[in-house]
Amino acid sequence: MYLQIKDLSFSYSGAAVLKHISFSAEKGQVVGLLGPNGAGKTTLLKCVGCMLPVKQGDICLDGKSLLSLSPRKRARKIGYVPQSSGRGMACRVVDIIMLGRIPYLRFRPSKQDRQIAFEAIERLQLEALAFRQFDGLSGGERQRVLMARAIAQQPELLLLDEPTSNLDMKYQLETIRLVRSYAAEKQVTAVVSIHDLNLASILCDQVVLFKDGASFAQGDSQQVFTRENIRRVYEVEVDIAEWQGRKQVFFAQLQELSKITPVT
Amino acid sequence: MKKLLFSQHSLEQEYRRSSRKAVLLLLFCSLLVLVCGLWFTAVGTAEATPADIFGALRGVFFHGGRLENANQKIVLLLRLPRICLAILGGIGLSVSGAALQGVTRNPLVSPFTIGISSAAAFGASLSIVYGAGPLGGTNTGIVISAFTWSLLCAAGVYFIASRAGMSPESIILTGIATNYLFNACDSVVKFFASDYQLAAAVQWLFGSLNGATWPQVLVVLLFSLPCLAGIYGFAQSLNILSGGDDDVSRSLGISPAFVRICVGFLSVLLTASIISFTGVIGFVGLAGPHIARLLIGSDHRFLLPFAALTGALLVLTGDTIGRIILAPVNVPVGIVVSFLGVPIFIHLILKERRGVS
Repeated sequence: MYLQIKDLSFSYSGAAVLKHISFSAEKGQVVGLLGPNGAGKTTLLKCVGCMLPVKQGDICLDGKSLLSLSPRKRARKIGYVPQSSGRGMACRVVDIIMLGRIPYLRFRPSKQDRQIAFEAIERLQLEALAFRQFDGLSGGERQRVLMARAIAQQPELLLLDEPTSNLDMKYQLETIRLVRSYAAEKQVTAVVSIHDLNLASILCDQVVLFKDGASFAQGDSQQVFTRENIRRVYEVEVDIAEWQGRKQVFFAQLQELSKITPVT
Repeated sequence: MKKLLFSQHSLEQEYRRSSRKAVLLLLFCSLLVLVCGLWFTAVGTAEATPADIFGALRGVFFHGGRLENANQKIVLLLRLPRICLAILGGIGLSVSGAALQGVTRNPLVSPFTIGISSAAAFGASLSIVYGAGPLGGTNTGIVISAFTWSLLCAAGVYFIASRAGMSPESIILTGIATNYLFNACDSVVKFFASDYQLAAAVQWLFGSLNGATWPQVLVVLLFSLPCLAGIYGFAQSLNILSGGDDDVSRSLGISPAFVRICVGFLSVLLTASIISFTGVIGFVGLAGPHIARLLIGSDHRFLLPFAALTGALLVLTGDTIGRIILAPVNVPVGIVVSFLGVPIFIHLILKERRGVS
């Protein structure tokens, strides 16, 4: 296995947030982290990226522990796409993407660094925005810029925090296509925290379903999505159907909602 | 078709073109500072001609310091050191402001909101009123005392903030608290001071370039150069730190705490070395970076040098206006800079808002 998370536990000031998480993934696979709010998806993502100080457990890439690497060396292996935040800098988009080369350079980006950044711009079709100011972009555009920056890092492991949650349908689909094709083409493992189960089912090869910081079910995404699992984890009744070969999840009890009508 | 229009080649070209624009703007502004510096040297109670200025410079560099007339002496011994200190002070205070705003991600921070100025004022008062510290009461003693206390204050802020993980909030809040603490200490000292001492202590607070000398310029220069170079070395780290949360910095291999400590230390040293000589010239550290940011954006590789220039221009113009407006009385530069900077500042903010809507 290429990426291995071994018995990872994490606590914020005494309170256990993650309990003995283990999973592994091959090159080119997309792993989804699923679960209700506060289940520990984002914490796990940040632990895998060593952005939080991991004290228990280990994270290995290609058999080597990431925890023992220097931050700079680690940054050459892991690309992180944060949730597109409201904070915007009055900075050219191309310069933001160029920051992805920071782990490789001393001070000035070389011609080769620029080339790699431009490739990332082309892959995300940001040519028309490249010289605009970052703070003038829409949420979806910012998301793509941040993704381009992570790609410019030329990572072996790509981490995405809720990459679809601020996007409209078109860009949700576009993001899924992008992550899957990038992972497959560059043989990069991607770990994604994601809320939307139906999108997760399309995006992910395998998923880890969280409940209260522990893995409730994990494995092939099509096998994890069962009525029973989702009822136990999300406390919601659902029906599951297969649509074009992928499992999709539907709310089971909508009749009672339809009964609520405005009083006239 | 789009693919053809924006091929990598043209991206590279466009990148160079748009970077060149910023560099040209920087060069133009540097030239402006230089021209203003020379021009303002000629302005004053004793009108010096450009010939006097060049004569004085020539006298120093080519004739072993031989000066031909009184005007040349005024230029060389009074005006030029003052102009140089104004430029250096403006550069240093403005760059410290820009750097501190970057590491704390807060546009309201300046070297003065985190307590350094009140600590320096306390140090100065101690020396003026009690003659405390080495060479107490003399000008050098005041400088040493102000400098020492501002560094002590910074060390205090650092120790408290590092306990809270060096987060931006912890730095700002600790800074504000220490600001109040030293204000109170300063008030205590002043409360027990005689009228004469009180006047001197208050005078110090105004921030003035009166009586600038070449040795002072030299000392400030010796502190400024390494600090400025050091801060500029962190330009890209500042871009990362100010543009996203700390996790993003970590994922790019940059330790946020390390950058905050280094940049914070350099900014404090820079500020302390300047205000120990000049007193509190407050508004520059806030207005300089803001004006620069509105003009050139927040890429620190351009913002830092640009903030240096706007700061230099503000202090230089402020001091010159202060020298001539009520001549022969010198209005302290700290006061003029605020009168000068506030309207510019407000104008730019309003213009910016209009641009958005």
